[in-house]
Amino acid sequence: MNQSKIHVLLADDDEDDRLFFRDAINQLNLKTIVHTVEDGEELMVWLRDEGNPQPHVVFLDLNMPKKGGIECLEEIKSCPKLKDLSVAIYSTSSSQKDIEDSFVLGANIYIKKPNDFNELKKALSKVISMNWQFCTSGLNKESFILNV
Amino acid sequence: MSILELSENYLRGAFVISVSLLIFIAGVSYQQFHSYHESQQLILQTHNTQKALQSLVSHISGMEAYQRSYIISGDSVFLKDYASQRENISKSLETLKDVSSHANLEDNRIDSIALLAEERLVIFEKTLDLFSAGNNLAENLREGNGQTQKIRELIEDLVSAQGTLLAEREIASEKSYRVSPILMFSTIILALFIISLVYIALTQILKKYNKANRKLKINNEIFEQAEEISGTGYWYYNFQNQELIFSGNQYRLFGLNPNEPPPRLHSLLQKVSRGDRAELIRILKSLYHGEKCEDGMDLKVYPGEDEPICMRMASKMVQVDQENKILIGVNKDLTSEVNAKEKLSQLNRELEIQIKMLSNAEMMASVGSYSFDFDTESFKFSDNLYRILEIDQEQYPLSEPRLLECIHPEDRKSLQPFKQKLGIATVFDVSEFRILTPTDKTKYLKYTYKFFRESGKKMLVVTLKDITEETIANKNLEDKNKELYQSNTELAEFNYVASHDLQEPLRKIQTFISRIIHMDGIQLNSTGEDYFKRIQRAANRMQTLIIDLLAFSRTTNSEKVFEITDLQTLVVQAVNELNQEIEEKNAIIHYDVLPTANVIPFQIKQLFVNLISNSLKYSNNKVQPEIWIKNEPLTQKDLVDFEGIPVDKLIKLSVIDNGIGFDQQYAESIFVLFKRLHNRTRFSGTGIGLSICKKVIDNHRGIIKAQGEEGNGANFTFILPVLGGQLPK
Repeated sequence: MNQSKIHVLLADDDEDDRLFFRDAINQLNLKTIVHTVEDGEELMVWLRDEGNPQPHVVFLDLNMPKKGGIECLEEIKSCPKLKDLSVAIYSTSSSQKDIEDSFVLGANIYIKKPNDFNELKKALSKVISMNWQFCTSGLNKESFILNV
Repeated sequence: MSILELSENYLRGAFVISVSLLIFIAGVSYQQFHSYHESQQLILQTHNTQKALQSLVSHISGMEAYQRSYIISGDSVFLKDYASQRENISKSLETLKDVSSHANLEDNRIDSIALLAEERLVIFEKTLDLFSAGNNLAENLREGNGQTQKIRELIEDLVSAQGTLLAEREIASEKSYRVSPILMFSTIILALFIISLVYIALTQILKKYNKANRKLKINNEIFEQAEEISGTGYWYYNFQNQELIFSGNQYRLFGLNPNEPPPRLHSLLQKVSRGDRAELIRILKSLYHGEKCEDGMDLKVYPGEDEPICMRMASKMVQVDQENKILIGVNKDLTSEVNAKEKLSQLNRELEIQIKMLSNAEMMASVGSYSFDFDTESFKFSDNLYRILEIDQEQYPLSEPRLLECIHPEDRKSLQPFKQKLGIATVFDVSEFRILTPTDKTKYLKYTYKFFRESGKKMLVVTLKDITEETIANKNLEDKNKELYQSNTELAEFNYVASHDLQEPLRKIQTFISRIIHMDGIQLNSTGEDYFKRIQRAANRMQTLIIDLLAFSRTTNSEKVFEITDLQTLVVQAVNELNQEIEEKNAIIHYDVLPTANVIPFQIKQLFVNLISNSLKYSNNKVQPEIWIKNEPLTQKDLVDFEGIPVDKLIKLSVIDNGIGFDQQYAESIFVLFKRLHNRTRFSGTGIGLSICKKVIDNHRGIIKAQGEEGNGANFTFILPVLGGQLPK
């Protein structure tokens, strides 16, 4: 595969959201390849599959059937092979509990799904072009939530 | 009769004897002296008589001689001497007469001598006449001589008689002299002997008396000590001389000085309390009339102005001798005894009351108890225990086995009586068990026990509390709690659904609209565009509503964790959160230095956010919006709502703006959920924001008040206790 391409993985059970996500990234003209899975179980399978490329960042919806985002996050962070993966929470919820939990479990950033398509594009652009080396979780709780 | 009296009688006899002896001696002496003087007188008279008789004889002889000489010589000189002799004879005769008249001598002889002497003188004269006449003288001379001879004989006779009498008298007086000294001497000796005896007896008695006196003195001292220690005093009253004698302590008991003279009976009676006085007088009178009063009587006596003392008086009439009746009495100060008794009975009364109170309290608290005395191995069951067990105390007095029978059969097995451990008393391992009343009603009892030692007695006290009502209530409460927990869980789920599932379709609608609006190459006429915009607004508004509602339910349901927080930090966070709107409105925020307090941080931040955004929302277009967040001093009026909390434990903050304000009549209703004062198109808002503020302040046990004036800004003031989370609910 082309080395300059960036692989991002979205785990979201909502078809519309997956559509918005793809459209937004496509419109951003970043050299990004979007992979999507529809629930947590599928995500874990995909990640554990040696054949799949290592994603640059995993966008993780919280509310999913079978296996929720928090469970996946827990699993990822407790797996030695996956624990260095950058995880961006991508959720409709703005509940304090969800933010708190995902922060504590080691997510890198929390994106509240915008209700405007342009804002979505901005947000995704920001996250993908982020230098993850310096944006590891636990550094700053204030900057954990993405401000578009 | 006492020895003293006996010896007194002896002494009196001895004294009388010795005095009569002395009188006798004096009488005898006087008589002796008198008779001696008489006999001396008689002797003297006898001598004088003799002398007078002898001188008469000699004068007569002299006359004879001179007459003879004259007759012989005729010389008249002799006649002269003869005449003088004749006068001497007359004198002698007179003397003789005088003596004889004094001495009562044998006067007839003296008379006859005097007569003879007279006759002789006549003879002498005759002789001389004869001579002068020159007659013969012989006859005459013979007759003269014979006459003289007769006189001489008679005198001699008389003198010898006198001599005999004198001798007799001398012998008699000598005899009496000889007898009386012996008598007197022996009498005096006797008297002296008796007096010596009396003296010895007296010294003996005096010695005894002194000894007795010393003893008496010591006894008296001991007695005084004793009566002072025992608080007694004695007295006696002599009816004859109306003398009242007090012992030392009796004075003290009556508040008198022992050195003062004894008090009058009347003034003493004044010190006896009015109530006891009449009775005392009655008793004293009956005592006087010989009745007895040995039980004594209790008196209340006022020794001074102040506290009375209680005295017991025992009195008795004593017949000292035939005339003297004396009333003796002993008083004892019973004040401390009476006080102690009073105290004891007071304590007893209190104890009785307390027992009654305890019994009442047991009833009120549905508590029954029993105690076990290890010494007597006896149980004591309280009244209310019978009531709880619904057993008739008279018909079925409780015992240990009966108590066990009352226990619910199911619980009876699981109860492990401590019998083995304690030897006897029923003590259970469990703290709760059921009983079955005679009417087959199940009751729940809670059980506690305590061992203690009371003045060496080992006691077990078991308390049983009827917790049937509580148990049932608790069960109900548990059920309710379960329900509540379930509904809370459901609500939390609903929250999640609301926050997530409801927002999701909404968000998609919004996103799709935004995509359509911004989509290139899509042609919408102006009406279509307007409709899309309206859809967008409605969707936005719905989103705000959902978010606000969630925030509101969060303030109600989320965990309230109080933390000591710097309020200033929270304000800064709130301002940061609202940065965009502040910039849009070009508003200025002023804030004071704010204190720290024990608060739920996210709620207070929400409070500031809501209040500031409220001020921003209702800002006045004509002026630059300004918001002041002030730390205000508390007024007396503010404290009314915070009884028991000191001023320095309260915080009063205000958020003041220069916006459009509101009519003061809505000051209360603006905090009501969904209450809006303004048209939606003019001012966005859900009517939830201020309700959240109210909720937050309620959670912090504070108060919030709004103050406003149409067109003239609003002022939201809230007061919080600094220790909000630590206050009792």
